[in-house]
Amino acid sequence: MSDNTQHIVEKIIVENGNSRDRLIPILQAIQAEYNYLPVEALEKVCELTEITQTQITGVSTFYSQFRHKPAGKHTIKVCVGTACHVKGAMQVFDAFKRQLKLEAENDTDAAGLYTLEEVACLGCCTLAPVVQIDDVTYGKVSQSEIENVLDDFLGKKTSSESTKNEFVRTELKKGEIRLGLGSCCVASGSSEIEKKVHHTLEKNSIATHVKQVGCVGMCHQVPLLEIIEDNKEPVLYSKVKPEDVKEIILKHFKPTSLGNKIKSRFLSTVENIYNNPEFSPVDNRYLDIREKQVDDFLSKQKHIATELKGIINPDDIQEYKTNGGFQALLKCLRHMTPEQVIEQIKISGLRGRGGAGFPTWIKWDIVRNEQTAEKYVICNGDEGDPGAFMDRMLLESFPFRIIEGLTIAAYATGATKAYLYIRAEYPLAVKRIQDAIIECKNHHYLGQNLLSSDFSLEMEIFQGAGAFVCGEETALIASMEGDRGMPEIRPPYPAKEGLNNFPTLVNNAETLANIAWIIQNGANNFNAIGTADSCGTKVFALAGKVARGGLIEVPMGITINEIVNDIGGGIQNNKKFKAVQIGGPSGGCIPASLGDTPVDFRHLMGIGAMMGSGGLVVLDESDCVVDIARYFLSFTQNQSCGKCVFCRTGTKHMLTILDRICNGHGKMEDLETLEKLAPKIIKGSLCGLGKTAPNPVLTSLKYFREEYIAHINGQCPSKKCQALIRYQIDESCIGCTKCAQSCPTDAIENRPHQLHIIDQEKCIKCDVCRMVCPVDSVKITPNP
Amino acid sequence: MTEIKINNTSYTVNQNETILSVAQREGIHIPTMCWVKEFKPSTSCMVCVVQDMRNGKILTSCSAKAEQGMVIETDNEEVIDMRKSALELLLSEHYGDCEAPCQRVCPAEMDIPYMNRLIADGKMDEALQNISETIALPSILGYICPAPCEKACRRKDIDEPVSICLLKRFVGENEDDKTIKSPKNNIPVAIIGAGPAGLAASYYFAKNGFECHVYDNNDLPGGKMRTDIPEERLPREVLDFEIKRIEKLGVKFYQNQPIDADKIKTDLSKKYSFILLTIGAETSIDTSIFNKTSYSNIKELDIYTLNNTHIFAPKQIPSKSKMAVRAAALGRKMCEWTMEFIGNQEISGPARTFNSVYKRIAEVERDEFLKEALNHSGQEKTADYLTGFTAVQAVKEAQRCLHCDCRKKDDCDLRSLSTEYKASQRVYTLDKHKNTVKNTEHKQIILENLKCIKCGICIQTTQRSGDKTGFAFSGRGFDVQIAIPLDKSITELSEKTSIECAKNCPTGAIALKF
Repeated sequence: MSDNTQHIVEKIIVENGNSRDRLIPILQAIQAEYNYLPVEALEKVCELTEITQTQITGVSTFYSQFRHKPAGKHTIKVCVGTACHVKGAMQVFDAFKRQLKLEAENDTDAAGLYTLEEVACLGCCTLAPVVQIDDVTYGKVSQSEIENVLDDFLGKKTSSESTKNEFVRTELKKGEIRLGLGSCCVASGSSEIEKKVHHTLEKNSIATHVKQVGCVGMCHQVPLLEIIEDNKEPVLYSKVKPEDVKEIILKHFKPTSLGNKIKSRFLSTVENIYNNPEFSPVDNRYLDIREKQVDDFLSKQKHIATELKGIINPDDIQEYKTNGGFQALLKCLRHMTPEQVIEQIKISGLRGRGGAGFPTWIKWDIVRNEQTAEKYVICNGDEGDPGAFMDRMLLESFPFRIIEGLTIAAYATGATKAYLYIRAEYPLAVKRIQDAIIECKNHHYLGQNLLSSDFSLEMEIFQGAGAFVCGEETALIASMEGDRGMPEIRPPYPAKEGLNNFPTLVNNAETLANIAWIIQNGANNFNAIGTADSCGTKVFALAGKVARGGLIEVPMGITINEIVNDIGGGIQNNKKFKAVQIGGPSGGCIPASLGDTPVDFRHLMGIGAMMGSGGLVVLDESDCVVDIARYFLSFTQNQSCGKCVFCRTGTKHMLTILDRICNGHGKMEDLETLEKLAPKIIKGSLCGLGKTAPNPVLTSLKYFREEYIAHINGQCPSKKCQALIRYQIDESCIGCTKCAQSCPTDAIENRPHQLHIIDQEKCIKCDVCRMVCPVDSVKITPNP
Repeated sequence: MTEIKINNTSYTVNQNETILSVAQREGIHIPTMCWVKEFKPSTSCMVCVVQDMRNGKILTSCSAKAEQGMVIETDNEEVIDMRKSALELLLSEHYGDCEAPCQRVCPAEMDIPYMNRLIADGKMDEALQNISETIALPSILGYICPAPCEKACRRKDIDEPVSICLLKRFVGENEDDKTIKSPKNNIPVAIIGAGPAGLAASYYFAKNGFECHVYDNNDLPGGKMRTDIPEERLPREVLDFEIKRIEKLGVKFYQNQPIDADKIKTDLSKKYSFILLTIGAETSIDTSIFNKTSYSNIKELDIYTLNNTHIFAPKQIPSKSKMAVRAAALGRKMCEWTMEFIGNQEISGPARTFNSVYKRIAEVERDEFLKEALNHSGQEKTADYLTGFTAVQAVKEAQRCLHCDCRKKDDCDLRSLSTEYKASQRVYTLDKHKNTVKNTEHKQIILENLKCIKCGICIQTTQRSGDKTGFAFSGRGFDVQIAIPLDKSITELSEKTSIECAKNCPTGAIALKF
């Protein structure tokens, strides 16, 4: 084994380099090999490189990607992102824990088959709660069907060895079939659909283009299949199931092989696709762009960063070019000086989309004016907000556009090298960008004297290893230098002293996605969109209790109500709109009464929230704001790097207090302590994580103080906090025994045809009985 | 040229200079904890914060560069409040005792664990010196002290307390007193009463170079210890032995000398600069004929003047014989107060020192605490009360001490700043108490992560040493710890580096074992 280790590590080092800044890629490669980090391999790394033991331990224990114990054969990732949280992700997680019989600290079952992990966000918020087992994603998972999920997964594993369809086309192709392959689509089963499409086309010898397109944004309708017949209006099918594919295709395309000519049956068109919020596996619906609901969803949006969404194949450089791609870059290189480019960005009024909204042109200008041998530009795609996934979508769906924006930024600042910092948890984004970089090199959009100009640029990917704090630019740079992602005091700003102490421009992926549009369509046109101090658009991940969730791009200044009611179609299940959490863990919980607030940097700050990374989670009357505040705080507390005492320990104390309040042990003084400690954490922390961590608590305390007080008095008004509620079965029980059969702790005795009773001592409040009860006899009541 | 204002005075600043560096150069005090000269600033403890009054921002002076036009205040209300809160947050994750509970409850504040370590190491002379710092009558008290220390001893959470009293007695019986006397200062002092308070006071006055005379109305010195306590409780030769030790230091005893106010007025006040009334409760001196002063700011003591003499009269003298330890402690304090008065012309007493207090030892922590202790119990039972310990028994008994005190209690930045800023450990408390883990494997140092402030100075120290194995951060956020990398052992740290780490560590997280 030792010789083998030597060999493997040597190979990894040859491929990744041996300087100290290569540590994270080396660790990632070792983990890819062993599925954890064996000490033996790590010691070899110390022997063979300039990396020290101290550095390895510091880094490998800092990032959540790295494991020091072997993992099971399969990894179950339960998404505990915001949208999943409000839909009961923790109960799903606990159910897996019970199913796999995992003890306290153990994450792998005894047989070594499964490792159970929490993951911040899988980016499928509209399918919440979501669970991913290896590469299979399950949406709308309920804790009562864990066993089925595991069975289904093992079933898939054994059957997936079937051969891939090789489709040989002989005829002239007609029309086009577009398949959404964004993360939500994939999670909802679009790859199965894709297989089925190819299969059907082959079986029936239909010749048409099958095209993968990026995220369309209508994540609430996935999987999506769009059919474009020549000279006809495109037809969009939503929530497609594999078994429906054949019918859909045959409806539009006539089979050419005689033997396969079958009757094509018209699919029933259902008039209102939104009324039934349940994920219905059997109904197929097609969406017409002209229909009112779709029109509402799309018409208030404005697509700049997500221009061409659903139209182009993310992998196809030719298609990007045909649709105007790289024209902006060409324009810059051929007709504009770097100063002129910066001037355009200045006129456009573009501000950073990563959270704080710093004017983009100022950063560019500072880097431009530094006179050093090397300069860098970095695309920050280290999205970590548990309720946002727009960077991921942009990187996956518009890789060329991001690269174009980054290249223009490099040209304007005079950078010599460009990096894309992408979370390793986003494998599809990594792959698409990787492929796109190669394509760009091949087509001379990158490299020496690109497009025959004087400008040269190399570009590479750095995979982030899982630390929310690395969204902070100084921490991001530290991680690229092979260190723990600990922020540094600013100034000096990275724009003056960044990566390897050279001037470094760090821009968020969404910011860069706007650049080409601005150059192409004119800075003034961009400036005209939005409000005076917040120009252009913002992409939001709209999720939670809204009827139509998805990725939306809206002009700045749109009101919260417009987003929730018009785009989102209001609240599901006729419940009341209670609040919206904007900006994720850095943002605030804004009550419905402030729904007319325009969404821009200034107004959001004014009400205690912030743009943040663009998570927008809608809460209804059944959501507990204290629980939501605790949820976000537990996220930031968990992600604190541990450097500043106010953040490291202060957030822990705030969380302890919130735990106490949610458990009904809070005191009125606790609220005072929270309000005293929070401003100190904000003032006494070096980086944005600590400076914004108290926001969700402060805003919810400001707008929903009475809910905190209710908890202190032992009541959770939304009946969410487990310690303050109990489950009871009322007289309407028909004695069907379903609850007794599915109770994981035997808290309900099996009594056929009699009223069932829950043993409160044994009840763990997992909600399973309530879910399986066919007559809604299980009621949640306040604790006596 | 860059200029900044600190506390309303303008200073010229060098290129790339931090605010702290400017302040230090100009003699402006800013407290620091996680900052070490020439090290990369850790910027983690936040006690060096100052405020830029232009925008109200709180800045870490150790790493924030001085920028043109800054208006810095180093000690305004908000800054002080931030520092205090930073300390209180650090204290909330600081699990351990500063002083051990035995020392905290000891009326004489004796450093008991240190005595135990010296005895366990066979260093009896040094042990006696250590005891004599706070207790002038170790053997006597070894017989008659009710030993509140043993009731507080944490060892009793495991089995039985360490027999502190018998150990002290054993050390006290050491004939070879190596007490170091200060040079004579020729200040004459009269002590009235030769009970435990008077004896203890005389010992410390003599030790500190005073010319010390004791006046007592009995035949022999010792007060109630001689008259009230039966011989079988306190053998008289023990009493005589310790009085002899005091005489050897140069104290003169005047027996059968009843003293009253008139005698003080007509006689003693003309001979002595200070007169100390360490008399028992039954006898009293009418102080009404002296002038009461306001020199004393402490509740335990009144100061009177008569002619050019200062008369120190404790408001209450512990009278019962079992309070002998309190009386002895008072005697020492009388000497300390006198010296403070000579220096400052008034007495405020020492500042209340911060003490971190640990919880009860949990079941799961027993083994951690026993790492430094002999795991046997009840050994003291073999010692006869009157015969006391043999040397071998004493060493074995001392080795039962769990050393729950902090090795760095007198050299800890966290403790001294907590004292200075009056920080409290009770403002922020966590529901779950972490459990103690002690790494005692290294010959020189002990590592206790629960006392760590996560500044990483030790890591920088080991990195600068060039040693192959050094300390490393492990984990993230609230759970971050100082660890030994991979599966190495702390024993791989060189002697020189380990000592350097203990020196640089701002708290007791890394401390020299001795």
